[in-house]
Amino acid sequence: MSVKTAFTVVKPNTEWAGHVQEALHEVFEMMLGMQASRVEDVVIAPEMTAIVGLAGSLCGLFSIRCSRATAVKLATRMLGIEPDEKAGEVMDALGEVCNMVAGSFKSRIPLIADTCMLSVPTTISGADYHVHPLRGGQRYEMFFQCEDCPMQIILHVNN
Amino acid sequence: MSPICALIIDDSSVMRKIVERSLRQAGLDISEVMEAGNGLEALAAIELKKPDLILSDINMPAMNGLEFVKKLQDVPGMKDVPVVMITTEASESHVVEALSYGAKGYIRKPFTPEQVKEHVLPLVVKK
Repeated sequence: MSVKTAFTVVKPNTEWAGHVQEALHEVFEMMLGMQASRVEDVVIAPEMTAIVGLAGSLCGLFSIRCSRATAVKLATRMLGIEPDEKAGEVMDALGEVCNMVAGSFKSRIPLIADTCMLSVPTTISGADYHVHPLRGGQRYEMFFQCEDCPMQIILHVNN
Repeated sequence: MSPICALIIDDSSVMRKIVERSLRQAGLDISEVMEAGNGLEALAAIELKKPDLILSDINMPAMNGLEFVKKLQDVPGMKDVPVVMITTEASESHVVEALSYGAKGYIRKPFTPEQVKEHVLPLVVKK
């Protein structure tokens, strides 16, 4: 039995790194009032990670990793006030940033804008873990510096 | 414009706060904000009090925003309450679906307070 999909599975291309960068800039400028610059490499204490799953015409995951201090600063800028850490607002804010960047990224690629779905974000605290996506695929890894906040963005595509 | 009661639906408490702040920055006189983490919670909330304006995310657990706005049309007295979707899922198909179910507007995340003002204020003033 053959199963027909209602979408075309797309293959990543070299322009996608630029789309990730544009998406990050848009979200940081509009929601946090911050400018993010891409850097070649930066030392990050990856104490917090936000992940959004991608499914449909593009399968994989989108993640942002940063230090706790960076996550607190992003949450503070988003909320305009100190986040309530006990209520999980720091994790929540990082998840939302990841969600918006992933959404902005996919909206920039017409082939997947309508046919790639995003999961609700998941956040992880702690650095001692490994992510094992399906074998193969492509991994885009980028580093950004936003004021004194370094962060890493990973797009892993399984297509 | 008299003070209004707004219902904000989003599974992120941070995003609910940001939407509320944006509404106030847009110049809306808000007397009360009701919050819900998904469509099911929102349906329960409107049984207790009818809001004047609803802003809803789409991608939520339990009941997403599209299902919510569809079900809302069957709730007595709610057809005249404007619903604006605020979501990262701003694909054309989602927009068309939301509007066909009765949503009156659509704002894509990320957004600015000016965009909230542009989309929401006319709906409230119109009422």
